[in-house]
Amino acid sequence: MPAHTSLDPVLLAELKDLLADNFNELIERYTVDSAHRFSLLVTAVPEKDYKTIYYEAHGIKGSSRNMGATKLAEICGQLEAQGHAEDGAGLENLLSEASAEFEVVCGILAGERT
Amino acid sequence: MSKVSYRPSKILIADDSPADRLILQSMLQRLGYVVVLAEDGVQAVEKFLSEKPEFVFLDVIMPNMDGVETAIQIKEKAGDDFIPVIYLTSLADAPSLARCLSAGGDDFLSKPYNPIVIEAKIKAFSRMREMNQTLALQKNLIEKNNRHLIQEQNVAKQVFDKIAHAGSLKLPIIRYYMSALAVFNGDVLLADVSPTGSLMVLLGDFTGHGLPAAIGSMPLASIFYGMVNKGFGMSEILREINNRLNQTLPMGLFCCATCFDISFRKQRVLVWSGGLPDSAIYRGATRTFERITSKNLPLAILANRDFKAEPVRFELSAGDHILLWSDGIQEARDRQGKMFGEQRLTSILERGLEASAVFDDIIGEVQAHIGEGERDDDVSLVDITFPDAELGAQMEKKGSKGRGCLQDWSLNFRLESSSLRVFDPMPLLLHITSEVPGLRQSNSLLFTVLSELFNNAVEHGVLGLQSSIKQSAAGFSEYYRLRKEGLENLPLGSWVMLEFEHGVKHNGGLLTIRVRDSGDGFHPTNKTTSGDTQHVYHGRGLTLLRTMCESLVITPPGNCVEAQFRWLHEE
Repeated sequence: MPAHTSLDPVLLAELKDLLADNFNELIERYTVDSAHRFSLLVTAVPEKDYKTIYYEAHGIKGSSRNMGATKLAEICGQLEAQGHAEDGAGLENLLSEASAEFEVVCGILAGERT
Repeated sequence: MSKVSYRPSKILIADDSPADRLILQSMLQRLGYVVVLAEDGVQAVEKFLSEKPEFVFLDVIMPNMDGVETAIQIKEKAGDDFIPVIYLTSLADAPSLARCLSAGGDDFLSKPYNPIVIEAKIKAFSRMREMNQTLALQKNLIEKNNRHLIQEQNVAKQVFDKIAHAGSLKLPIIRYYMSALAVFNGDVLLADVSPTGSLMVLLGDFTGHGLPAAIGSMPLASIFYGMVNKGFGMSEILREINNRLNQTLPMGLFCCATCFDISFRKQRVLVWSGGLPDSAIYRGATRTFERITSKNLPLAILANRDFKAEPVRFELSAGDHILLWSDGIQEARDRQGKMFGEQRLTSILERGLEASAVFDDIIGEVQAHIGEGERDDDVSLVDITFPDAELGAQMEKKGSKGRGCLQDWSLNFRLESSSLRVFDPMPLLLHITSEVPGLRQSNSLLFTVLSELFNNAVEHGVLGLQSSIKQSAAGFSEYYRLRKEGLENLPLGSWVMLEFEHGVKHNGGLLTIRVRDSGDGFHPTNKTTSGDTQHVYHGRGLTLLRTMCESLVITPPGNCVEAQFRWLHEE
């Protein structure tokens, strides 16, 4: 099941319990904020704008960890590290890999709405 | 002080990620905290100032102002108040983490957030906050106490300076050195010329340091100057100082002292020394020193009945000097803690130098020994020149004649019935006679004479009691019962009159005391001869008085007694 690797079901259950009525609001905030950051990455990667790559990948990584999106967080962590080190090798591939994983996460979260 | 809870009630979260903010906010609210939110560093500082949160969570990477700069500003604005700052981060590289902490942040919280970890961190930092506040309170208290102490010392020093410099330390024949710290280490130097022209000098060194030592010097100085001005002799002054210090100073606090009474006319010095190091007399003719060794216990140790104020006498001539010092000279330490010592001092005294060179050499060598390091010395050194006759005569004039001191005087004092019932005139009368230094010396003798004469007048004269009643133990208490009863029911018109006449003679003075009463005098049947009368009616009382007074005359019919009491100058 893709859900098992893309979203930690235990953490997700805890968040549902913690946020209760605000859970849908959380999903909304996460997806909108991350989508915005992805749009910035899409421009930054071809321009080798390492600062933006480091900054936005770090942002997606952090909230993805909090959401239990472990795999997406790992890929973004790789992007963040290369941005910090100003290492341009394979950035496009990493970005499309991250985007694809974000699609998966968003799909699962949409199904979790209460 | 009531126990303050250091659990924070309001917590600030600054994070630009809306999802992360919502999660942490939800967790903290569930734990019971009020949450304040900020989306970047600038907002965080604003909210910190307006909302006054007691705990802060900060994202490191934020727009406008990053977490590190925000932490610096928040810590600065918090001042002495300890506001824990926890970074929210998933940063992994060590240099970034180190930068965060060195900017004043206190810890990290990693993602995903865990409520148990969050609560544990808040508790841990609350304990630190509590300790910090306790420390801050204590620091304030210490600072306050310290300011207070310095203020007290300044006041004490001003008071002390006024008292200690009341005398004649500025006389051209006195040269002295007292290091700045000496005063608060308990060294005190007093000098004044008495009405008889004697220069009295006292160097004292109180045990202990600081304020307690300085406080002890207050009564010392005021008694010294008060009594020197009234012309009291050295023994009497020392006895009075010893008595007062013995009664007022706490156990363990005492005063090592050397006192000189220098008479320019008689060309001699009387010395009393208790507990201070040797002082010395410099013989100008041979440039040698005679040591004066302390033979007494310091002041304040012995009760006055055991205290001996017997001075030693040395002859002086022009060009001689008296040199005295406190133990701060021998005990002055160099940087290695080695003392200046007795030997070094002795070697200077034995150099055969001119007197002024001796003084300079001692101070110079002690200072060289101490070095430029810490000055915690209490060095006191005094040099008194014994002047030639002309300068000596000038010195004698510095003492005002009979300043506040009774000379020739008389006093009539009549007590009527109402006063006789309740008033004991002894303290008042002795207070007056004490204004004559020579009579004060004999205070206890005079007290016996006065009270015997007064009691005779009241008991045998006014009340008409027979002393024969007192021959048995039962009669004794009966006698005092009758005395009490008689006084309580004393009729109007009874009186006792005390008359005093004092005259100064060349070697002392003569006090005449006449006591009359309103009684009938002696019973006529027993008035065969004057000797028998005294024996029968006055018992041993008048016999004792005869030994104390120069003369004792009873005027018939016996209600008037006159006693003459003579005193001589000391020496």
